[in-house]
Amino acid sequence: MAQSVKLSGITKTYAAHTVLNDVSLDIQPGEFLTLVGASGCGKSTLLRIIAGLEEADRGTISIGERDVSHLDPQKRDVAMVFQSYALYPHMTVGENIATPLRMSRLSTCARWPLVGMATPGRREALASIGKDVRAVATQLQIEALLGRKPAQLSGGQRQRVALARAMVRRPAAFLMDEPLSNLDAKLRVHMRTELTELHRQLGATFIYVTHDQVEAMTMSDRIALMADGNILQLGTPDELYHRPASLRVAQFIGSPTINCLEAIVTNGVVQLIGVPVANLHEAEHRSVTVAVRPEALRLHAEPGDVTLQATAHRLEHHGADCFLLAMQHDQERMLHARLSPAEASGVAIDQPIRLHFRPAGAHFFAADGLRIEPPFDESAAQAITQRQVGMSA
Amino acid sequence: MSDKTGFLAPSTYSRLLPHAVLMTGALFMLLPFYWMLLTSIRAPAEIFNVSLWPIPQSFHALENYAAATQTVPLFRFMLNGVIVCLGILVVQLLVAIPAAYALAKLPFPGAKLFFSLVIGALCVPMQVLALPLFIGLAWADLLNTYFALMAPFLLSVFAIFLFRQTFKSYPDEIIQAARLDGMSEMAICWRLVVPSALPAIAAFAVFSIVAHWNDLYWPMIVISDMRLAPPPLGMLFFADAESGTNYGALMAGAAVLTSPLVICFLLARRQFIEGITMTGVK
Amino acid sequence: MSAAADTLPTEIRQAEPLLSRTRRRQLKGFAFVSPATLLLLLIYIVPLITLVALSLTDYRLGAMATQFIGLDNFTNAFSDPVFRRAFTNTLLYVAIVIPFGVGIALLVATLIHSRIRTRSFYEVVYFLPVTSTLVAMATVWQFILHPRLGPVNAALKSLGFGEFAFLSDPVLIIPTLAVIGVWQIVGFNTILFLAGLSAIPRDLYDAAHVDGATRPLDRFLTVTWPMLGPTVMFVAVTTSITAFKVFETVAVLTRGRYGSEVLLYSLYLEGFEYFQMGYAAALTLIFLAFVLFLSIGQALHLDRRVHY
Repeated sequence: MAQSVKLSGITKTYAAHTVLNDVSLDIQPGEFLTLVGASGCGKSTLLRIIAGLEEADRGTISIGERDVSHLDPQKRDVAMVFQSYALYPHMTVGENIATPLRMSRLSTCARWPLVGMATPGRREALASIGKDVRAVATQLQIEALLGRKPAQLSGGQRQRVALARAMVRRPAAFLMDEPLSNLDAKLRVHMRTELTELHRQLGATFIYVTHDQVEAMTMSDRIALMADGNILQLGTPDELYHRPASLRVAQFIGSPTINCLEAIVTNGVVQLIGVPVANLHEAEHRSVTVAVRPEALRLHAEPGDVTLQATAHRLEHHGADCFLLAMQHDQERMLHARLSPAEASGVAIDQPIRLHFRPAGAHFFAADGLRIEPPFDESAAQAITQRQVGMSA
Repeated sequence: MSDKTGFLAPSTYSRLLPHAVLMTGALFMLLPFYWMLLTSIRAPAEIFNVSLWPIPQSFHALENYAAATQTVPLFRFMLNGVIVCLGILVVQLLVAIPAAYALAKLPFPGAKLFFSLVIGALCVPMQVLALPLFIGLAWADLLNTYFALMAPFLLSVFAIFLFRQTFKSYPDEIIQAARLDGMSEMAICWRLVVPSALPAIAAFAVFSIVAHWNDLYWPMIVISDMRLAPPPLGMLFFADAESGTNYGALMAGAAVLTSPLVICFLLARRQFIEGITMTGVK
Repeated sequence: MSAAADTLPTEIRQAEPLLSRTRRRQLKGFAFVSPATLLLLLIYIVPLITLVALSLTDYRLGAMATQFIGLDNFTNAFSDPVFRRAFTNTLLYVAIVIPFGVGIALLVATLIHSRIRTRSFYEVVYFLPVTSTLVAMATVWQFILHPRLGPVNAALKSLGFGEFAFLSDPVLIIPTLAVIGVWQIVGFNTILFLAGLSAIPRDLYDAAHVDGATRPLDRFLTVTWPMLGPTVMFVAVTTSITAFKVFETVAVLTRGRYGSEVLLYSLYLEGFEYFQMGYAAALTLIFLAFVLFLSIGQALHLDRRVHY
């Protein structure tokens, strides 16, 4: 049964280093939630705390209606897939998958070598374990591998065995710690689809840790972007991409990285290279960062656009689209623009070039990195356009 | 442990129990050392005192250690140990390193045969060779010499085996480049390959020195002259000479003879542990 | 080729085909192994052949005549009550040292492995007997186990037991020597086990923990024991060889008195005290046969264990 997972006020400190700082998170039943962030941001520690492999200094964890903060991993009813898969090398695939069931269905006595043989009810328990193992192996199409040892398997097969070992318990939640990072690029893309598919079939709660923003964007219902032991933003992939709550989020999500330019605010008007871009109601801001996604930069101008002077530096062809790297003149920033191959064909390298964007399509961040929402109502936009036209005339 | 074990929380048990077990074992490990040092500072009159209290009734260390050095030439024993251990080690390295280099990097006909002889010799303990070697040394009238003490150990097949494994991992490209630069094989071996294998050589040196410093069997066979005895044989002479009359001096002697290696061990803990556990062949 | 080769006269270069360079390298190879080969012959091969030859004779050092007596030395050995006692004593000694030397080391290693701050302290303490000079420490043990002067008997007496003659009571003597043997070897084995333990990936313990192996015993049976299997085998074989060669403690503590003969000590007495060279050679070969049997397993492991 899919269960909700609720974290509140989780804090964890190692020596003097705070790894998790008062993290709270509500995960819905059946949700695919991804914890994403650079290494050392605390995402893996958070996952291990949910699993019960480590104990938080403060805060509570509940799964479903139960407070599991001080329970053993097994009693939390969660399963975990490890980055290294952590398959027991001395056991066959079948035995690996059966391990969690042996632990829960056989008594302590029956698990002992030799002594356990004579325990009553052992045979029935083993039969039911065998049945469940085969069922999950069939589901993941690894029946043929049940008799093999992990060393004889390919990376993708090990991955499936690790999944099977997690699935066989029918846990309330699956915890996955970078499960795809040991696979080659092609298999990784394939397994992304398969994991999403599996999530839909099982309808279980998935908590997935990765440093790869593409994995996070493609697979998740919601993403929690973490840095320095805090959640910077929690939202759908769409929200994180189109309405990043802070400059750090905007810079982490999206490839190539978002273009950032410094702008000065005078009398509530954002001036980029002397050109007014937006009107801010609050006058307290002194400087803001204007961030523009590569696909928001165009070669052709439209009314109301802001124009950047640059020198074309390099073109990278990626088939369907083409990335232009251009050195912006005033702030000497390398800009990335996503162009169609048709547009790109007209670009001359080492020649001046003009890049245009619509102010409403840009993101504005205050000096503290937080998002500012300038009001882009019709009149304001109009006023800016007129002033710009006036200046360029 | 179940949640209802008693007054203490399970975590307290699981924290204290390992320490309790380990400390008990540690006391057993240390008991002889402690008793040795304690007795070496107690007066002979306290011989019937079986308490483990660390402070003796009268402090008698100077007398005991002086008695020990007067009864037998303790420092001569140690000097013998140093001479024998260093002599063995130097020859072992001089012989084993070129052989290992040839096995690893200079293919020659018969290399396989030579290497299988080395592996075979690894399984033959020194005690097996003692009898014919003793007869040989007796015929050559070399008993009671430093040479006799060192002779059986001048070749370490273990060193050849170990260094071959180490040298094998040295990149062939560098050796080929050095040959093109006109370096001789000797120079390649000693000036390129050996410096890169220093950790393995250091570990072997520790292993070799510890093994031969502590060896009793062979010195007992070829040495009857007390002035040539290495530490263990010297200790045996000492125990005979004392025959239980002055335990204080005897323990002082034991402490002096054990101390060099123990002190080296405490100073270079990592290297010692690595060197000695490198093999089970003792 | 080096620049020097180009300046050589043409006829020399032609007279020196490619093969001779390989040849020269081979000759160098021979030169490099020649000292080792010579010593191998002098220290191992010639003595071993001599040993086999001696074992078929009644050679005594200083004897006038020597006779070929076939396998008499071997048949005599097996009917000699002293040798048979030495043999059973050695087996008993090995049978005690293996389980305790391996079992205690395994327990100590698993406990030390999870220590963080105290780890190196325990490592030093348990390893101390390995580095110490056994002959000196045996003398100390003799004193500790002394019936009247030693603290062990004093402690036993205060607990209401009688006096134990650990080193002269024929029933106690081999077990006592075995306890000292265990004392000496536990630290060595502990270090080997610690190396084996640190090679076990942490993830496996985490996986076992999530899978429900919560108790230490379950984790030991699910992960530690099976992962440590090869190390346990290796340690057991190494321990058996070391135990088989017990000598120092007997030489210091009992000198083979009170029925405490062991293989190596009787071998020493026959060969180097009584100078029964032929008979001692036969005993040596019997000793070698056992060690070889044990060493084969060890040599197979050694190849896999030593890789830098």
